[in-house]
This record gives sequence, C-alpha cells and structure tokens, in this order.
Amino acid sequence: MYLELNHLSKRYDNVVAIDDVSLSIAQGEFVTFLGPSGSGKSTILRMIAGFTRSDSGYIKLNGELIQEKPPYKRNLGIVFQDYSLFPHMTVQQNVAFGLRMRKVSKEEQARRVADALETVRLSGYEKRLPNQLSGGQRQRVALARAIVIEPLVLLLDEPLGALDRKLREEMQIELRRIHEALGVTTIFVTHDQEEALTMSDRVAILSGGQLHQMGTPYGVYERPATDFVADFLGRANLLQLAVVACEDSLIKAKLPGGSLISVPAIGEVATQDDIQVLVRPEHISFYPPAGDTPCNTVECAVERISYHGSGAYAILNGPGDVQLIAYISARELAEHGEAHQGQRITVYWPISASTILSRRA
Amino acid sequence: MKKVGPGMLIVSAIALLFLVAPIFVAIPLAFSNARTLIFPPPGWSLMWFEAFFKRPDFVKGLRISLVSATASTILVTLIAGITAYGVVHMHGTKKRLVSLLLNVPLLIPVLVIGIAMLFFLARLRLSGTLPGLILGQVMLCLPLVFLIILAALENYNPNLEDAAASLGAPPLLVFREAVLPQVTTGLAAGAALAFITSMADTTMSLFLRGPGATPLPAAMIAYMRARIDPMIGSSAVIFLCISIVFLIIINRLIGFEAVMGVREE
Amino acid sequence: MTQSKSSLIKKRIVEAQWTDPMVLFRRLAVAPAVLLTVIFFVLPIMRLAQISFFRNVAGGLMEPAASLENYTAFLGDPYYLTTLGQTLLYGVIVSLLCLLLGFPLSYTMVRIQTRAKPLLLGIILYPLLTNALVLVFAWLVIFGYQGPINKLLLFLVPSAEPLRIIGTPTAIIISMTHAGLPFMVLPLMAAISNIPVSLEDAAASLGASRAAIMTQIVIPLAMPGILGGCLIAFTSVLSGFLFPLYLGSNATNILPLQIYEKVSEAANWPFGAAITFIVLLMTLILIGMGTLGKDLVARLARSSD
Repeated sequence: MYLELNHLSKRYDNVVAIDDVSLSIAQGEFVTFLGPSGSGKSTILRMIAGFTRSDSGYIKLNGELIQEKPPYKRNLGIVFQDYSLFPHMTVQQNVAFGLRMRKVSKEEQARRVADALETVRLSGYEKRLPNQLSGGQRQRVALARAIVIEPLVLLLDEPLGALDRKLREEMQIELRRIHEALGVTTIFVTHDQEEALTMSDRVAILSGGQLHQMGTPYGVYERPATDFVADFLGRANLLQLAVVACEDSLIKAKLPGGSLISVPAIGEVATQDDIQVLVRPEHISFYPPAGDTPCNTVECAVERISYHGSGAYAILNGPGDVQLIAYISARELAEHGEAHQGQRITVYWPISASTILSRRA
Repeated sequence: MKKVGPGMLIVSAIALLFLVAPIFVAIPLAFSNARTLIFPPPGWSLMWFEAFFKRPDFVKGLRISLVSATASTILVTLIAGITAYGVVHMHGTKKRLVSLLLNVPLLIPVLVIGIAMLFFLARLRLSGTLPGLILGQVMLCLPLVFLIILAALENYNPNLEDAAASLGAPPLLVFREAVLPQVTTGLAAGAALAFITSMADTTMSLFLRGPGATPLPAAMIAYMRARIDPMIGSSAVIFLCISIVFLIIINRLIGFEAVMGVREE
Repeated sequence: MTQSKSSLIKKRIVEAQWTDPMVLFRRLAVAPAVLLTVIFFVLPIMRLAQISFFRNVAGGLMEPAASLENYTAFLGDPYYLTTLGQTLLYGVIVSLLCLLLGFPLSYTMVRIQTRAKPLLLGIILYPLLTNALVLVFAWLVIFGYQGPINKLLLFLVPSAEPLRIIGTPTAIIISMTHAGLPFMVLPLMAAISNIPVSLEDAAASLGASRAAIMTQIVIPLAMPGILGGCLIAFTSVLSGFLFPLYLGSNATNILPLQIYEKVSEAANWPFGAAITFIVLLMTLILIGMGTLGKDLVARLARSSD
C-alpha cells in the first residue's frame, strides 16, 4: 500500500491518546478519519505530518519509513484547521512559500502558483492579504498552498469546521473535484459523519484512540462493526434481543416485550445468547415491503412525530418499553395520513436490514 | 441613556487636568529668562539650555543616561522577547510559575529593589560602574517589557511554525519566516518602553551611580543640593521630549490599550 | 471541532517532543530571564535581609553580625515610629485620593468613544514614564512663592500673604497622588474593560439608576481592580523619596526618605537595610491583605446570590 500506519500507539502521561492503530491507504484514495473530539484522529494526522512522534509503531510512505524524517522533509501538503496562512504575506506569497523553500525558480513559482490558484478558483486575488479575504477564500488559499508543492499526501485537518453550512457543502464538492483533478492521495479529518460519508472513498472511524472500523461509506453505515460506529453514523435503533432459535441463515430472537424478530445469522450465535441488533430508522416503514420480501413486524404506539422537511422521524413505543425510531418519507407520510400521538400502528422492516453488532453468551 | 454621567465626566476632566498640569508648568519655565522659578516667566530665552550644555557634568550625565538606556534596552528586549516566545509555547503550572516569578518585582517598591541591588552589586564590586547601572536598569525594565511583549504576542499563532515546516522550511527558515514577522511589532514596542523606563529611572541612577557613571538624574540631584533654577527645567524638557516621542511610538506600534491591558470594545 | 486556541496550543506543545532545534530553543527560551530574576532580584533581596542584621561601623563600613540592634533601634525610637505611622497615613490618604479621582477617570476612559483617546491615555501614562525629577521640578514651581497658585491668590486678594505650600503635608500628598494616579488607573481600566456594557444595559432595563448601576454592578465587578489599584498606589508611596526630599520638611518625613538618607547621606547601610526590609515587609503584608480582600470579595459575591 501507498501509506501504511502500523501499530501506532501514544500516551500522554497516563492517558492513551492512540491505541494500536493500523491502517493502510492506497495511492489516489480519498480517506476520511472520522471521530468525536478527543478520538485521536487529529493526533494520527499530526503523526503522519511529523509534528507528533508515536511511542511505538511505524509509518511507511511509498515504501519508505518516514518516522525519523522531520516535517519539512516529508513533502506533505497540510491544510490546518485555522488555515494558518501567513498574515504578513499576500496570497501569492503564501502559495509560493513552499516553492520558495524548495528553491524553485521565480518563473516556475509564478506559473505553478497561478495554476494552483486557478485550481481552487481564486485567480485574481494574488495581491490580497489573508485578512482581506473571506473564510471560504482563506480556505482556498490554504488548499492552493498545500497542493502547489505536489505533495505525496494531502492532509486536511477539519478544514471546513469554521465555515457556515452552505459554504461547507460547496467546499465539499470543490474538494472532491480537486481530488479527482489532481489524483492526490488525501486524508480528511472531520467529526461530521454526513461530511465523511458524502466525500470519502473510505472512512476510518476512531474513538478513544482506537480504530473501530475502516470501510466504504455504505459498508460502515449499513454494516457497522461496533455499536459505537452504528450510533455515531446517523440514527440507530439498537435492539437488545434474546436468541430463542438458530436456523441455517436465520436467527429467531425475542424483544424484551416478547415479540419475535428474525435476523440474518452472522458468526457463531447460540440459543440463550443476548445479541445487539442494529436497524436503521429509514428501513422501518408503516407499510409492509413490496413483493414477498421477508420482514419483521412490531406493534407500536406513536409517541411523537418530528418533521425534517423531506420526511419525519417517528418516535414509537413498542412492547416492553422498547423505543423505536422510524424515518418516514414525505410520500409515505402523505399516503398514511397524519399519524397522531397514541395511535396504534404496525411497523415493518426487511429481515435483511438488521445487523447483529455483538453477542453475549 | 449616555453611558457616562455628567458627574463622572467632570471628575475625569479634573483628573486629566491634574495629570497634565506639571507639563504646562515645566516646559515654559525651561524657556524663562528669569533666575528664579517665577511663573509665568517674565520673558523668554534659551539661556538655560545654553547653560545646560555648558555644564560638563550635565552633558556627560546625559550621555551616560543615553548609553545605559540604550544598552539596557537592547539587553532587555532580547531577553524579554525570547522569554515571551518561550512562555507563549508553555502551558499549565509551569507557565503560571514562570509568569509569576517574572511579575513579582512589579509588586515590590522600586526603592526596595534599588537598595537591594546596590547592596548586592557592591558585593560584586559592580556598584558605581556603568555595567552595574545597566544591570540595574535591565532588572527595572525586565518585568514591564516582558508583560508588554507578551501582551503584543496575544495573537501569536504557533501553528504558523508548523505550517512553514510542513511546506519545507527547516528550523532557521521557520524562525525567519514564521516567527520573526509575528514578533517584530511587540519587540519594537517593548524596546521603546525599555528605553523610556530607563530614561525615566531615578532610583537606579541615584543609588548605582559612581565616579565613572553619573547619569543625568544623579547630576541633577547633585546640582539641586545647591540651588534650584530653570536649568533643571531645561533637563526636564529633554526628559519630557524623550518620553513623549517614545510614547507616540508605542501608541503607533501597539496602542496604549494593549500596554494597559485594556480590552477594546 | 470547536477547540479553544489554548487547548490547540497545549496539544501542540505536548506533542512536539523530539530534538528539533526549534523545540529545544522553545524549551530553553525562558531560562535567561528566570536566571536573571533569581540572581539579580531574589539574591539581592536576601542580601538586603542579611545586611539588615549587620552592625554599622564608623566611616561607612559595616561588620557582619547577626544582631537585631538595627530593628530595636528603629522600634525603640519614637521618631522612627512616628515616621512609620506617617508613612502609613500618607499611603492611605494617597490611595484614597487616587481612587476618588481614578475610578471616574478609568470608567470614563473605558466607556467613552473619542478620537482623542490616545492623547488622553498618553496623559494618563506619561507620569509613569517620565523622570520623577521632572515632576518634582514642576511641583516646586507650582507650589513656589512665585508660582501660579500664589500668583492667582495675589491677583484675587492683593493684600494676601503668599501661601507657604512647600514643606507642608499638602505638597507631599498632592505630588504623590499625582504620581500614584496612573498606577491606580492601570488596573482599574483593565478591570472595568472586562465588564460587558450589556450588564449595565441589562441593569438599566430593569430600572437601575446610574448610581445604582455603579454601586450594584460596576463597583462590585471592578473590585479586584480597585484593590489592585489601591495596593500599587500605596506601594508607589513606599518608593517616593524624591517628593519628601524636595517638597517636604522635617514634619513630613516618611520611611522612603529615611532610607535614602541612611544609605546615601549617612552611609549607614545596616540601618538603611533594616528600614528597607521593614518597608518590604509592609508591602508583603499589603499584598497579603489585598489577596485576602479579593477572596473575601469573591466569597461575599457568592454568598449574596
């Protein structure tokens, strides 16, 4: 692989910041490190950049161990959270800085800076100082400064954190476009799960210094490896079930209230085990699925409906104090008529849409 | 409702007049043609400035004051600048302890510090020498200048050092490209403050003076034993001019609000 | 992630930890100032304490000893005790006058918007940053027989005798208040600038008069600044030997002048050291009282919730 992190660990005093993290990234990939604050995602980025040293483990880039290389010899492009533009230099000078450090000729500097600024669509702003730019423009300068040196890897440390929602979404598209245009291996750090899912080829989910799962956005969302991942990526119904019967490909299990649920079998599960099962709200419906898709049904009472524009979340009380959240699309909602509080209702979800997260004998 | 009531405004005006009054008395007196401290002066002349520059002890005193102020300014600015840079990168208990140690002298009467310095330097056979005087003024200025430079570094962004390094700048270039541009204004303001403080100093000048090192304030006090005439006013004008020029410089560089630790609205 | 700047910096320092020359430089940067302060501030204070126990020998010499005679001489002489009492009295009067003038001035300077603000701040700052002899000279003129005050008096009342101001406590107190006022204004302005205007607006919207806003909102919140200002103004009196030297008389003797005379004129270093040490102790007691005062204010503020 192009970039390999092997068994990285780091502790500060008695706090474990990074706990045995290994992962690898292919050339040209767009990978996101996703996690809440304090999860260690920025620390790993800083280890790759060379600002932080790991206590153990190693980092290999393009077949070379870079552990002992100081930051200024690693040739990585970094976009910092606060952009860290040099306030006393113009846009032109900021972007040319890395080229100047590499003793690139004046003419080539000018050409490459112009190219980079065009890539980030900021041509014409060369003579401005950073404090004469808007947040979004500063962001673009920081990006141009990082890509102009043709880095081996582009590291983006929560670069969109300071932008408002609309600008953020614009920049997400911009970043993808630039990534596709340049083909540079990119690591993007964020705590925003939606951003991570939209932008990345693969997502690495971190918490408490540990890597919980790494996979495609679809994979981590639909088949989370841990309940943390399930919960962190969007809304989740986490059901605690007691297994009553195991068939070849199907497990029958009981909700606390007694309703029987079927779950696709994964791994070794035996009768009497307690299992935790994930069902995403958007798989739960007020109608049975079309055709003969096998599905689970549960009787519920509507607790509350909260509208979200394109649809609504229904908070439902199932038997035995089980609470379910269902995402009902606007169309479905219109067909069903307004559900009111206390209304009894049957909900359905396809058996294939439930995933076993953990099991306890 | 206006923010400031009339009573407050009147007292403030009185206080400002009270503060500024000595300037309006000292300056005209220096240009008096009278031999006594008569105010307003009966007529104008430059005779007292002439007399000032004809006295070798005053001229030499002024030179020594300027030399020691320049030397202590350079030393203090360097030391306080480096220290402030270090403190900006520190945190927690260590940062608090260092700041506390460096700020304690501000709470102790200057006279106490001056006397203690005299006794200590006498032991090292440095009292009454120019290096001793310079050292005394360095210690006088250090806490103040440190505070000012630290205040000017409030917006210092250490991440710029990482940014420069990530773009390929080795340590020396990081220092030149990412550190120096951020600290020059603070250093300049600190230097201006150090120079004024040294020139304004009477305590160290008086107690650490010696045969080879009699700064202007000490020469003036020796003169004032015998008589007090408008010639003292001419040296007062020289001191005032230096203070005012450097006050303007400090205001231009970082603004008085930053010097006074006042948060701007 | 909304990380505060300080936590970002903190993280950064903990993390950078190999022998990068920049890291080494950052680590050692505070060493010169710390060493300098220990050697040329802490050690001299210790030397001062030591000499205060020495014995004075005729001819400006001293003999190492561990005797309390300087202190007993000071405490046993009514003259010095009167001087001590007078020092405290002047300190209190000057601090109060500074507060009376300084509080309205600080409040006004923080709250008004005017283009003349730099000039006004310069007027407040200059006494700190100009030679004290300049001020002494100006007061000698102002208070003199031929000075503006007496000129004005004679103009208004031609038959009046010129006032003798130099040599009276009035001269000392006015000149020292002038010198102490900037010290009062500095912490006060800093404290008041930390009080959001919105608090005053909120109080006004709840029906508080201007006076009520002052006593209920501004003064309680500015209390640390008020205590700090009084402390430093008092300390400035403990440094001011030039004012009583030129504007005072035997009746206005205070400890700083005694120190100057013992060390500079009488060349009795051990006794001068003892008085200096007593002044230092007074300062430390004041600082202690100020700290206690701040705690007390904080506690009262909490308990009145």
